[in-house]
Amino acid sequence: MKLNERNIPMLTRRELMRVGGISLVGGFLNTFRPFNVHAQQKAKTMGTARQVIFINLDGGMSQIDTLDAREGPWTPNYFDIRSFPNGLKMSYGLLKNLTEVLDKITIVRSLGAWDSVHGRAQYYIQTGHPLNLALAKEVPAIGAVVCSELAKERKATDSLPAYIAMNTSGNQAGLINNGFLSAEFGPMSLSVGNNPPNLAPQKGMEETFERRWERLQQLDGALRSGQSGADRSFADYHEYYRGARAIMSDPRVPEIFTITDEDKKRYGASSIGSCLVLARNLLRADAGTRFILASHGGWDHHGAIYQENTRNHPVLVRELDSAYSSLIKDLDSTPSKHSPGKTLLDETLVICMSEFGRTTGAISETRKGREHHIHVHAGMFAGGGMKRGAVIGKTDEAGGQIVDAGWSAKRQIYMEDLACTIYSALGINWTKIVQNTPSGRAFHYVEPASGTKYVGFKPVQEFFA
Amino acid sequence: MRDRAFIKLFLLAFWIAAVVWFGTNALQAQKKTASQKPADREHTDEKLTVARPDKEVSDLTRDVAAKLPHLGTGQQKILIRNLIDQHLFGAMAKDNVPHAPLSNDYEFCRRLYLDLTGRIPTPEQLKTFVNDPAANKRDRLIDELLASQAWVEHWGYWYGDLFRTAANRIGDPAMKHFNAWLRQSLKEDKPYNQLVTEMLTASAPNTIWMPDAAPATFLARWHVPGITMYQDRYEDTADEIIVQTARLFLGITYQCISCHQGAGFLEKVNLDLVSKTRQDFWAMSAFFGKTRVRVITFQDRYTVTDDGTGYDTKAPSSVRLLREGGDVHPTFILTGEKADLRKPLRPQFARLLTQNPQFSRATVNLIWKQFFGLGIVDPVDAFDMARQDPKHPPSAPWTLQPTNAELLDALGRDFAAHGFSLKQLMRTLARSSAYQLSSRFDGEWKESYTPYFARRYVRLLTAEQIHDAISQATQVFGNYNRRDPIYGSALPPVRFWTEAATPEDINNGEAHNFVRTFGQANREQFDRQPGGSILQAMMLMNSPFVTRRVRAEQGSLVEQLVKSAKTSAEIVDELYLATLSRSPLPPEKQLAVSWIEKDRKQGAEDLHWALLNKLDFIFNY
Repeated sequence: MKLNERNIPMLTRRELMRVGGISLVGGFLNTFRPFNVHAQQKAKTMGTARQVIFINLDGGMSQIDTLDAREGPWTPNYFDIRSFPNGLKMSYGLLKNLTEVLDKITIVRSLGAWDSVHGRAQYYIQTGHPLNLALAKEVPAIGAVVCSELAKERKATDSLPAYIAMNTSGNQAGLINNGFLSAEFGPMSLSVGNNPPNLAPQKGMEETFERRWERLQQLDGALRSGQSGADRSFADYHEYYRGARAIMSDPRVPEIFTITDEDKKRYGASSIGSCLVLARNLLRADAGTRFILASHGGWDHHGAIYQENTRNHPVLVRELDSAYSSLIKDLDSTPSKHSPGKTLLDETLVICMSEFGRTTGAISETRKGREHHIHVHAGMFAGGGMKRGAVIGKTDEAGGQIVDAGWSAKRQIYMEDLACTIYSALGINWTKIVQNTPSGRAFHYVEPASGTKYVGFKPVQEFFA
Repeated sequence: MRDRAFIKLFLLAFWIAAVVWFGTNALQAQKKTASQKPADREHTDEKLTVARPDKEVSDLTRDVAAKLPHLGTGQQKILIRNLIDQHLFGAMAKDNVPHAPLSNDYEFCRRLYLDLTGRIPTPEQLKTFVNDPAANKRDRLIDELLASQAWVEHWGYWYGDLFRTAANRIGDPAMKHFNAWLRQSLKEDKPYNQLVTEMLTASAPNTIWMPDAAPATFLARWHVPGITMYQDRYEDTADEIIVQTARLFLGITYQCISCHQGAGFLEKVNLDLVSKTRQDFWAMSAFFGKTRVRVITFQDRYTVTDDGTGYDTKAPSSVRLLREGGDVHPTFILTGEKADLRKPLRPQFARLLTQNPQFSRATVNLIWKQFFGLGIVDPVDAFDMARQDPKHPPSAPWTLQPTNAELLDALGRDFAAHGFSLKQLMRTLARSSAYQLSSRFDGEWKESYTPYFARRYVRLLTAEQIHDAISQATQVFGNYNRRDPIYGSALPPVRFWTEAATPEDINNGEAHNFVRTFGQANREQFDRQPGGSILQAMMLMNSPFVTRRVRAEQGSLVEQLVKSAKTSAEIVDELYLATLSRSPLPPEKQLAVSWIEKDRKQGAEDLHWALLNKLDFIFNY
């Protein structure tokens, strides 16, 4: 497949002939719509993961200043770029802890993005679909789809929501919810600062809460227990209260939402540190949560990228470094409850990536930052069947174009491919189509084509061990 | 020689035949794939609920209203007060549909305050209204609230959500001026057609930061960048302007035909748009073909001028399939009227838009939904123009789209006849007996009654309304700091959320955290998300935002009552009036009094907490 100047695969006539068996003749191009050739593949899912932690580096992480390091006159002294196995180059000065877990994870350097605007690209991250405002009300997040597929595995003791999202930015795309799927698969949105949120009764108020709950039931009693009618197609507001109470009175909850000093030291006293401690606790407790979206904001370094102050690149990388490495280590040292001999990491798919990358080479004179870059960016994939210690994809000298995509499709790995990969890892058939959507338009778990070009999306098999 | 020529001729004939054959196949294939199911992909025909806003509203009301204590009913006879009543009660009488009784004064007062000002009445306001013996007190209250500053703030904020005027799209200075202009326009009840015209025709030659360029912020907000943030895509921007303008002011979604023709795609979606094409869409965008929204600083400063040469179908696009064809003549899609190219285009567009009956109908329908809980056409941005005229109904299986087409038409004409006054429209809606019906329904409610608006439909309070209601009910106001977005000087602190122009004006993380849980609109791309969640219940029960306010300290209502000489029974009454805008039922009162007798402070705190967690607090009924 040829790539045009924007590195978007373009379907040549020969490919169309091979693929569709129909010869292109001149002016009929406009009226011809591609057949669904993707349908020829049967979906063979891997089923290696039970749950997902998706770390969303919100803003666009600079790949040449992190996982795919390039040195130049712009590189600050503290970077200390070193070489690692498999041709990997990273800044040891910023990613010291990460280098200790390289043997547990896969680094991907050939991710690509369709959109260069945060809102649309963030929407892609959460849903795996391009933002289409006509359909947006219906389209569920990947997490919601996952949770609806895994709903049949929910246990009676599961009190926590299946999909939890932490620190999602209210701007840009916002937090994408369950779309046309049932509300129980929508994300519970938590705001996690340096301290965890309050899902248990406030400290010292446990007795007060119990008493008040009792009194509320008495006051409302006759009204709350009323039956309304056999066919109820909406969630009764009282159900939310019952669900909230189930969480608040679950004895595991206070522990899950406690961050010890030891945790803080290892994960770092940052919001991403807290998020990942909670993620670990949630999965260890196995109280119903199967998809966790943790957003780490502030990566949009258009200006002063290397400045070492509040929320610029070095600070963010170091935060991520401590938090992510500790998470990987802790997950891998927790034995799995479901597969003897395996660890929690083996059954948890951990993805850490941004919505796009940043420009390469020298930084601008005026703003001293980097701009958005959709052609290539880098991410980390671990657990849930992913290879350990692998590096996939290679970029050119500048770190801005792909030289070797590292997989069979020989092109960037897009969010659609990653959606296929996530579904496959969880044992979900990614080629599913839902016909009975409210609008009547079929909903594809992963759309067969993206935007205006034909691209056959599929799981990145090269990730799987 | 002749053989070679013959062979060439034969090949040519073969080639032509092949072309014709493939061509017709392709056309047929295109028609077929619309209905064909690809055989090899797994299908799930799960039983999902088809979105039916009428059914949702009916179910929710039927369940919730049964759980709400309705204290007596307004025993007055239902009077036919205006055209709304004529049409609705006429239809009910004709089709033998029973209706709810009138709301009582408590219900009506709370509901009207919420719908017009976004706030609940204070006990004083409530008592004054309930005890007023005047026969026309409801009309007087409507007029009083329409003239209030709270009305301006509530609707100024609401229109801010509607126009998606996000401060991080446009920059603080522009937002400040735009919101000031918007609120001033609402305050003086500027005719709506004039307000829309100003927004569509304003220019900002020296950036939208200039106060008198304020209305142009609406257009600048839809700017589409090119490959870098410093490039402009004029045609894409024009497209976005048309999509948003049509959605907001005509209730029609042209998003679909901006990328593909209607035929082969919309047969099950919109009958009118099936016959429309991308060319029709571009012909609308061409009204903004000479308009240039240029970026100076990305998502911060823009200029809006009309110095372009026209809508260029050959221009590249950041967000859509490439266009084709030559010059496009600006043509108004609803009427086919073509623009006079010798005159400025935007004023012509604004006139064609606002003079079209659909402008009035869509506006009326949108506001109707805010008052009645369900649009006459719902969803409000899905108007299908082929299904509006009762004299020319569509063929089966399509049905007429408005649930009461005559009413919508009449209201649209009435709106236009009254100078497109929003206040007059709201007055007409609120004065009708239909609006004043109770949500309680004696007898068996049938879903088929829903289009008749035979009862009041309940809905959750909005995020901002919940915030304000809690603050007011507990008398503990946030008094959030605010700074002038341009000069940085301190502004009066915010007590009620809608005093602020945009959410970003309010400087308090806890408040934002609380409000966001209740589905606040993201002015970027998404409107308000309705519906409940577990987190909402948790917030109401456990968030410091609530638990702090029910404590007997810091001048809260509970503190005032506990420290006063009032009896337990009086405390219960006051808390009910302040929180639920009604008096307690005897069993409620007995129970609550026993708590306060047992421990005055703890009982009062517990009671206030419980009241904030009752259904009738969180619902607008």
